[in-house]
Amino acid sequence: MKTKIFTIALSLSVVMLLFSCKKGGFLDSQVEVLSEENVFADSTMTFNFLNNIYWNTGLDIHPYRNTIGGFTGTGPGSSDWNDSFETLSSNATSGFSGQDAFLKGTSTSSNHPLLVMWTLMYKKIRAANKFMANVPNSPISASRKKVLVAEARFLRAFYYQMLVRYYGGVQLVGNDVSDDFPTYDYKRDTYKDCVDYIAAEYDKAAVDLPDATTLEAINYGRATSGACKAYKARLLVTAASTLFNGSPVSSDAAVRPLICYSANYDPTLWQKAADACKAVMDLPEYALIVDNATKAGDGFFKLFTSGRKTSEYIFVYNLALAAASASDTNGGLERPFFPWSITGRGAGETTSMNPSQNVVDAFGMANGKLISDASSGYNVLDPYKNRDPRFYNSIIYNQATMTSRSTTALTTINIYTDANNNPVGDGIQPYHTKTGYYTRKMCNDRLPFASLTVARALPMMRLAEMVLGYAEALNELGRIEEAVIEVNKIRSRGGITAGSDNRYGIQVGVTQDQLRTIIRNEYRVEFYGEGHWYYDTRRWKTAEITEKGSLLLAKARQNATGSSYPFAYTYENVLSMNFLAPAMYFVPIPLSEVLKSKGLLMQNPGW
Amino acid sequence: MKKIIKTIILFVVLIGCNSAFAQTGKIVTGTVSDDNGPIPAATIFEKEFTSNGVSSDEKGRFSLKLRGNQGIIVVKSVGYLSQEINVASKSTISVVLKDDAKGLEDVVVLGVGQSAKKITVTGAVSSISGEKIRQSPSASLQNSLAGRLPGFFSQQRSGQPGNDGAAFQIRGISTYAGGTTPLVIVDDVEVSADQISSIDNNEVESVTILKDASTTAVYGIRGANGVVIITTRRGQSGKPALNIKNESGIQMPTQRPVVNSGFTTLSLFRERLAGLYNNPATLYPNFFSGDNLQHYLTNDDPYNHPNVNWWDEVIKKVSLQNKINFDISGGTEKVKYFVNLGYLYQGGLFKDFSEGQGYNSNYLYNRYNFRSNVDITPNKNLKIKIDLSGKFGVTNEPNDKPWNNGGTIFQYLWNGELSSFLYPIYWPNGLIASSAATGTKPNPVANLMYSGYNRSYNNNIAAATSANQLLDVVTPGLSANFLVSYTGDYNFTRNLTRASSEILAYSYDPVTQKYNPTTPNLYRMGVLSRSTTFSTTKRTTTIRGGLNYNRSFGDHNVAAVALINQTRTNILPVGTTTVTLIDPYNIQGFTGKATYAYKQKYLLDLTAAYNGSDRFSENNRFAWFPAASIGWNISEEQFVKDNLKFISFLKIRASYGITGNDNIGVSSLVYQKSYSTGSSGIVFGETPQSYTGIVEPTLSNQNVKWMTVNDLDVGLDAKFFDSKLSVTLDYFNKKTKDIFTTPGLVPASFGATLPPYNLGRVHNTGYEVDITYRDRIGANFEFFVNGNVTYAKNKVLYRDEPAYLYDGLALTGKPVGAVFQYTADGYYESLSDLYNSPRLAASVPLSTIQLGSIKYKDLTGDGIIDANDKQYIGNNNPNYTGGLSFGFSYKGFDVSTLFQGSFDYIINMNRGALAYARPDRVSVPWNLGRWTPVTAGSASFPELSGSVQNGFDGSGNYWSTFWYVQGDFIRWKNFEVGYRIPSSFAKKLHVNNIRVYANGYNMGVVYTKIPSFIDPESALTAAAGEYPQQRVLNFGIQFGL
Repeated sequence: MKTKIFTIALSLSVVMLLFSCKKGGFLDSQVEVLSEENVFADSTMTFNFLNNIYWNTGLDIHPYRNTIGGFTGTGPGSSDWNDSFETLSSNATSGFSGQDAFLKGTSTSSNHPLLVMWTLMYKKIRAANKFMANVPNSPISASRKKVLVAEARFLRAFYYQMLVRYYGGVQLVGNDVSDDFPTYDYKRDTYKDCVDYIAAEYDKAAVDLPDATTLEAINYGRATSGACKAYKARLLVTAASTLFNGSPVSSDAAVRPLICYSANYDPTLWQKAADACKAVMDLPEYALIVDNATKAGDGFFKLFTSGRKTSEYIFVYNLALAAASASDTNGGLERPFFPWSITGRGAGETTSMNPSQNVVDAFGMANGKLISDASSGYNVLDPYKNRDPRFYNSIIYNQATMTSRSTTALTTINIYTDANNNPVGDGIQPYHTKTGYYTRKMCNDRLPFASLTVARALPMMRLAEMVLGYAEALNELGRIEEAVIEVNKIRSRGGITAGSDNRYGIQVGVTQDQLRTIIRNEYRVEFYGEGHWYYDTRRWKTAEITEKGSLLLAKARQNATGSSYPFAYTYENVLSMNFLAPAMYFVPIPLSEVLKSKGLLMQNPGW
Repeated sequence: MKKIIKTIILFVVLIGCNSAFAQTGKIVTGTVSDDNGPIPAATIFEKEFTSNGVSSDEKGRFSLKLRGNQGIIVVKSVGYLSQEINVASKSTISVVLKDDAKGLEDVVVLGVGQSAKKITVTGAVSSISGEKIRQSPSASLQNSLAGRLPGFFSQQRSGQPGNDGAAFQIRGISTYAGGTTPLVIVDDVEVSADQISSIDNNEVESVTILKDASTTAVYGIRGANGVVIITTRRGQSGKPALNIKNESGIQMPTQRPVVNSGFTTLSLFRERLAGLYNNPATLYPNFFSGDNLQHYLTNDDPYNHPNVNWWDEVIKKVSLQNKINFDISGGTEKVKYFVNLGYLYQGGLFKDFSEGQGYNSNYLYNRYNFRSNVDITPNKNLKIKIDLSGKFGVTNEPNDKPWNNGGTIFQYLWNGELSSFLYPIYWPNGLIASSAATGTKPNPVANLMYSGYNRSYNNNIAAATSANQLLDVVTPGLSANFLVSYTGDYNFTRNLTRASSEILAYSYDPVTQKYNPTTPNLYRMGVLSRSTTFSTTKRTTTIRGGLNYNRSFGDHNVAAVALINQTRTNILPVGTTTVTLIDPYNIQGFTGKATYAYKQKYLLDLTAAYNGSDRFSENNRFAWFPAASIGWNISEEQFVKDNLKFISFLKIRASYGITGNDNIGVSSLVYQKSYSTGSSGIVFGETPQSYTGIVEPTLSNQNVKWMTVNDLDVGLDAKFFDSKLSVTLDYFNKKTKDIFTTPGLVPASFGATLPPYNLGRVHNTGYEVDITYRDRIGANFEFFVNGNVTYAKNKVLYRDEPAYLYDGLALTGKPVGAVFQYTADGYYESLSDLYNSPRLAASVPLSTIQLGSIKYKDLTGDGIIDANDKQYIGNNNPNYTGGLSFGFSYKGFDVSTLFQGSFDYIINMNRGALAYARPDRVSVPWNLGRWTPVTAGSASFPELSGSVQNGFDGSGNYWSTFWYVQGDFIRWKNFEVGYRIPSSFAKKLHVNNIRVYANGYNMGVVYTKIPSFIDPESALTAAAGEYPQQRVLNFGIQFGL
């Protein structure tokens, strides 16, 4: 009997065990899923999805661009990415080594430092598409939705423009947001199609976006109609420039449409560029910040240090309020740029973006003449005297003064080697400076570093670019004297003296070629450190000259007491740049992508 | 879960109220013995009611009350042939058992609680007994398996106390993504593979590896990498038997690089500087100006011209290892027990510099093991096992990384980065020396003295209870079993550390003649600070229940198993308090197995597992894993018995089946697409406000599933000449498909992050040979020889790769672990050679490459050397592995030894110490064979001027075949010599038996092509700062009470 009871009970328990182990249930996921529907059913999450698309916009100007995007390691995140974009040009060297290979011309289509852009930008474009497709379902007012869609449209165009600047024509993927693998052929659209598409998209976005005056204070930093117009102007100025207009770097008929707007020179492109720039200049909400009363060129200093919003900023990369000494990576500039004697850095910490002698030489004199001009008054024995005031606002050089670390007293920065050839103070040595200079541009050096807190937005687009673009276009169109007036707006604001002829050092009867040289130099000086020089040398096709040869440092040696000048300067090679034409005019499309495409995705010339 | 608990309670209660099936019947008494005397613990049971059994006592006596009417009893004991005796007409019998020389009754453990007689097994299985494992003094259990088990591949990378367990695979590697480590089961409870190294070898009864589908299919979705089954020792009825064992040993590194003297290194350095057109005397006046170099030669000024061999200064000649075990076993018919306590200590190799500091910063390992295995037999039909075990490890390491800028001292030693001529250990005034100059490495003695330690605690508890109920009342041969187990793994680290910026060491300034702290403005040693970090905590619970059926009908034997099991693992990830961040890992399965044997001659075995894992989406979660195998015992055929007498045993067998691997290489649930928040940092507003972004995650893969392996095995087991010679042969052919691979052909313009898909395929094939000869000469001399070889070779059949510019670059078609590097082609011998031969784009003749730099072959023929010329040069996983062991015993003596080897793979010899001499480096004798214009013809090493192309930069970007050699080696793995003191003498000491023994591990490398400073099993790329592999010499004494 007992046995029977036991047996029945056991069988029962085995059955129950089976039942409790029934398929499913036990193996179901125990984790909440945040689905796409959940995200776009929530207005905050919807906004944050859009906010994330903005994150990588600052790649050209952020001093530590590897830290933006939030995904160090999978974004533009290897150590090669530390330091600003400027260090991929002859203007500055990097404390990190990744950029050296690029400047030396040894990058390949498998290890180029900008390779990651191809993938990153397309991720952002997909996100913008995803946003535009989903925002109609979100619980947001119709009027707001319209603005949000326009913002996403602006951002999509913005990232396409970045792609086009690096690679030439790229694949336009439309509005695809499917999770299914694409079935289209993997190939590039022409440069012209891309430019026209991007320009049209900016136009479309501008219609629905607020302008700088109607943008709510809480939304400062988001896209505006002015930003759309300015980016379109930049796009058209680029398309009208030498590389894309009449002088393509390849004779291959299959490749040429991918890398130029017009194979034969088309002056009407310059007219379009001029019109686009002028349209922005005519907007009432923007004005150059000028202050030559306090001090010559003080407007150029105030421009970057008067808080987040200024009348000159058109599109910015906003930063959180932070102490200057907080960290290198949050976008603050003072800590990564300034000499150790100010920042109190320690072993192993590298200053970023050391300006080269090459860019220092581009700064003219206060009278507006280039230092190469015999009449400029430049003295090689005393090279930092009477320079363009923007020089003093951009570069920290040997014996420059700046506010001390913790008091408001001025201190002199010593960047030299003593009689025994040992570096003194902030002199040339690893982690300090490679070039004998430090960057001051955009920084606030008028308050003690230790107690400085900066409200800052990094200017990705500012009015000066429109003015210079307009001047450049006018000059190319042969309207030389009109161009002189425009370029002098910038020179005057920079603090260059007007001179008796009120021409700010530009000679009467200046030719188109001479003025072109002046304008191009003006770009280099005005935008040093803002990530323009890399693109400018390419669109003008001047990189073969400026980005080749020695990237120089200045070595100051103390002269014996009683010498007429306290220091003697020699200029040495930091690294030998090599510009391989035509390859380096464009970034190579990642080899892995080319190989995927079964030969349809054309590689850029020379790679 | 509640339901399960209820079920358990019900089950336990039911077991409790079930009492003995008392029935009247005939009582049979008797004795069991062999030629030498009584056999204790022999099993005697009734054939009709197999559950009705008893064991013989220590004098071989037994008494059994019969329940049935047939009157046939079976007498069994391990190592003897069993006998059936008809007792219908007698009530007192005397049974004499015969030795089972053929091993026909050897039992093979088969997993999920199953075992079978070796003669009827149709799958590929190898096993090793606990005694053999205990011949090796290695602290990690798996290190004792190398060379012992055909099909077992292992690579021991490190000798670090507490961290010296080898990585291992069964039958090689058959996937390039996901897990390759076998499933490890200890007494029916799964443990993670890394825990195998902390199992006390004194607890082990046997280790079995299951290699083919017919044996691993019961584990279904987890069986594809093979299964290691460890059974632990259990009690035998009888008086309590106590064993006390003490083993003391010494450990020493198997190799230590020989480095050149400071003078030699500096001479090479000078040559290098001159080769770069520098003037050594102006660049490095401290070394080369005046008579400085002479001082380094004569060693007459040890403070200003030191010559420190850091290996000798920092490393002890020997360190200690100690192991103590105490085990007791015994019991009665109703309750049996085995209890083991173990303690292991392994000392570290560094000299004890921290002694005076009040703490120990040396490497060391303390391990405490306990196990209590209890068998309870409340009545004849019910068996309950209650097993409890724990492993507690404490691993100590110096906190040497911060002061070394992230490197370990061993890394600097292997890389030759501690130069002998920069500073002494101490200055003449007793201050500790170091260097602050850029590029030089700080004094390791100061590091060991002042930096403190990191001590990690590993706590592992396992409890398992199982019950087996015979259900002969339902139908004879039926039984039910049930198992509940729990394992907990809890880890944390305690640190006592000093900030690297607060360690006081001094450099000497010859100009001011002052000793300056190497950290500027530091004049006082910083304080030590304590910290604790928690690492992964893991809890696993398993429930299993099932039915067994085993019955013979005349010549037909039928057995069947049906099982249900489910396992839940909860993981508390490192550094967080939120358990849900890592999904629990849950699996569930149903297993069925049926075997049929006709006269033990024709064998058939069918297995099917139906398994699910929560890694996969609902509609793709469960799958069938069937396997079938057949066997034919040819030696049972009459014509063989009659005509081929030299054949004692001959079986051929074949199996084919499908197994799975759910360790596909991702920890998240791939089938879910869950949006994630980024970190905050996006700022808008004139008054800044920070926002946290939300991003589209990796796309989901709804069709994600396990890897599937189609596994064929054909084998032969044979014994000849009265079983003196035994041979096992196996051929296997495994096709793995659905390997998790990120699609390689989707355009990046798609813009989405792609999940991996089940795309890849790998083919793995090979064979195993295992031959043993054992014999006896005279009455007392027994000997054996065993040799085994396994060959396993794999090839990637598909990995969704895009086309390559050059076919040679594709991974498809190459083995897993393929090495792609440049092919060296001698040296640049002349200027025309240098200028006209292809070279790296980055190399500039006479600037960054020199005469005597390594020349590469331009495999692509495009005139330049670039990454496309890096092509397949070999495989870093051995294709062959094997062992040779032999031994003998004579009276109380026993001697055995094992040689083990791996073959057919390549290893990288590039170690930092081979880099050119620099002020922060040392040189090694190999550097002396450098290329110079004079020695061009006989150079064995490239020129020393530091060409990137020579591959010295440590990045690995510029390695070539110059640095790779065949890794083949044969190692004298271990030996043991033992002597059992005659019991007459032992009795005088009031103990039952005493055995003294000496054994050794890693005795030496007998054959290798690798230079003597690299262990053939060390890390396959450049020196990763590994702890040197240890040779262990061990002396032990064992008392049985």
